[in-house]
Amino acid sequence: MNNNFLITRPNYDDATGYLFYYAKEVIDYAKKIGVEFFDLVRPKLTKTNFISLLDKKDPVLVLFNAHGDDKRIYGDKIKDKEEVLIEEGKNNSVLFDRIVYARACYSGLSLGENCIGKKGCFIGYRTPFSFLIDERWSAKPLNDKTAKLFLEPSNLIAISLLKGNRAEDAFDKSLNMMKKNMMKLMKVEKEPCTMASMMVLWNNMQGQTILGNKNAKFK
Amino acid sequence: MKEENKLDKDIKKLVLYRLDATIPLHFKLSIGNKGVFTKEELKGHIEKEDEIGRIFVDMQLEFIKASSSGKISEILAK
Repeated sequence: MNNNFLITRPNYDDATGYLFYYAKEVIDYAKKIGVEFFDLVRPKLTKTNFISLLDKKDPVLVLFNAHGDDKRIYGDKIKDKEEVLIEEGKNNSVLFDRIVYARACYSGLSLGENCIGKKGCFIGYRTPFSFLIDERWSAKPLNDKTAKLFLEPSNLIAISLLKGNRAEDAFDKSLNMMKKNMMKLMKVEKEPCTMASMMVLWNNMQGQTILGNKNAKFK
Repeated sequence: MKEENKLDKDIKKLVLYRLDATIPLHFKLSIGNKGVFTKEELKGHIEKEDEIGRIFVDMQLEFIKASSSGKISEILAK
């Protein structure tokens, strides 16, 4: 396997739109440290290209920004239909022995368990990965301070992995940032969405899960 | 829908109250692959007790339980 990574970034609705922009911060970091990566966005984000890149470039790390369920991770919407990239029982073995972070809901249930192989690691969610959006910033998601509370801790998993941290350490750093964000919310008097933000952070903290080899490293 | 699957009336009232009190109008909640919802849309889903409404109710109840049991304080204090 090679020290590069593959990232998927669909952008066809509000949720994937936010993930698309926030995942760009991971890409910017990879550029800064000179790591090779393959950024799958429309029109290149197809199952054929995804499988071909896994086969030819053999990345040790795969980052999904996607919709998902307990059996599938999706890619782009093609002809009004979401294309399945990974499906349990069909092609989950293509992720064996890699480090996978799936920012996709329910991916940490059955699917994650079946993507590990002998020495791989899978970080995902047992709950719907959720976040609040301030509509006034929907045209500029990176300026949306509310969305940032949820999306920065999840970006931190990918960035920590790229830094060479163990998967478990990357996972813990993300949990700690969510905790810090909850503490920060409690200290601010006029934050408009404090209780709701804390509830959603708690949902993501409780749902975030790590499976397989917790000592796995990107480099 | 069978009667036994219906949400408890008081729980529903509490969740609707909290939704109203805690999410300002210009905010939306993205719930995994279910979509992005305004406060009014969430209210509708809770009233209908459909899948999205139940996900939101579960999220609220988990948070209330974790707050009242001290679980959140315990984790934040670590």
